[in-house]
Amino acid sequence: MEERDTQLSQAYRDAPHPEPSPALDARILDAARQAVAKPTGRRRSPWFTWAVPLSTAAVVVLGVTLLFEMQRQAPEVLQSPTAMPPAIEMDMTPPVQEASPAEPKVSTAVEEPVTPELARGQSRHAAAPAESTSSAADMTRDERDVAIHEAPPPQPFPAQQATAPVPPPPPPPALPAPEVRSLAKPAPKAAQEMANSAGAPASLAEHAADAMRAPSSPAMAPALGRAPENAGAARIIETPERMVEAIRNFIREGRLDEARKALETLRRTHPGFEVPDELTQQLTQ
Amino acid sequence: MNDPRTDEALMLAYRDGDGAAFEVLYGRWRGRLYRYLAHQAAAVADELFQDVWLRVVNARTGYEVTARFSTWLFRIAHNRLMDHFRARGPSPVDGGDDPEDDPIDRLPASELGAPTVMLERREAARHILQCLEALPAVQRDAFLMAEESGLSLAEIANTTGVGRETVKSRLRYALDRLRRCLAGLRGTD
Repeated sequence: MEERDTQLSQAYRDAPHPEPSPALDARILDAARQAVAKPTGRRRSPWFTWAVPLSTAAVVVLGVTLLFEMQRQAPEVLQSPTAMPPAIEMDMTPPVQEASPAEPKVSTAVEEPVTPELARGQSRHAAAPAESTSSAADMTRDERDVAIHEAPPPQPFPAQQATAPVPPPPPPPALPAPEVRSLAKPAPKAAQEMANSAGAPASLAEHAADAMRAPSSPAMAPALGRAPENAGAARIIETPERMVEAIRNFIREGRLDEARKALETLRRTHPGFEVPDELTQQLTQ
Repeated sequence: MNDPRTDEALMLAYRDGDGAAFEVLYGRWRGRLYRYLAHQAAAVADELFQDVWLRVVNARTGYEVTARFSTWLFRIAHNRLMDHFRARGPSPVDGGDDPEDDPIDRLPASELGAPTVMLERREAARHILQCLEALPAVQRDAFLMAEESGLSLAEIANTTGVGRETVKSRLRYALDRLRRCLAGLRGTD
């Protein structure tokens, strides 16, 4: 080292210096030996031995429980009206398959086989028509589930969409096939013409006729606020805005009487809803 | 105690469970470490000395060779000493030695050489500890670190956490003061 003085270093080394006592040496050396003699780092505690298996088991149990819980709740979530609005459901339905002229039948409501559950729900509604005005909130959970299951998937309405930017009418309720066929016979001429003018196949023309057959048809009853057999399901997906659209369709077709009835129904069922002035003016003229 | 292994190898062996390696290491450094502490805080030298070695023992599991073992050891000692000074405040005379009990008198004659040289060295050795105690704490620490640890200026700087030039300056001032102190004491004798 450059900063050293050999004479001073020699003097310092020659000076008597204190030394640690043997007792102090012994204490330190004992502590050092005991430190390495302890099996601290080598032997694991029982917790460390079982930490990995226990953690793995906990993760598996948690995962399985979560999976079961998701499976249990999944149907409710998928069928809940809040999970997927009807309009979105309609948009997501592939129209090509429905518009295929090769389809011999009128609608899927007619197509669907009557399952025992469906038949039970229909028979219940048919047996108690007076209760059909009850709201969905009054229904039990089982009834709502049945009603939701009974409601057929929304159908596309290409003919109507081609003529006006109006959301499609609510889906027709599930009814026994003979009943629907009988209702489909007097199809309104306007709907037939509308569907035909749009170039839709015959099956879609009949579909449009079904949808526009209000108020005598149960298909349009929810839109008009009537109390159909499956009012529970219809009310879940019906809104005053859609009823207004149905009224506009009536006015457009010149069916003013039906439009007035529908307006009355709208005011009765949705008293807080503000009816557009133009509707009122058109129907009061 | 003639173990050919380096200090670092001994410490690694002790880390891996070789208790005998620690005894060799302790034998190499016990005197120098004790002197470094005792000349700065004689009253608590035993306590500080034991603390430093216990810290070495407890830190063995994380020991890696990143520097010389002496650098690590004296850094622990320096930090422990600073903690002591901060806690109690530095004292100009930490020794508390009895001035009547002159340790020079206990030096064996065989270590002192020829009569004339012996007299000079005995005089220097007699006074240097007094002069060392009179040094400012930082200069005394620098001198003792240099004498006892065998570290270079850069290593001392690293150990004490100051710059190399600071260490160099402190050491130069310490040597100047010791020379003047020793000359003054010889003149008064």
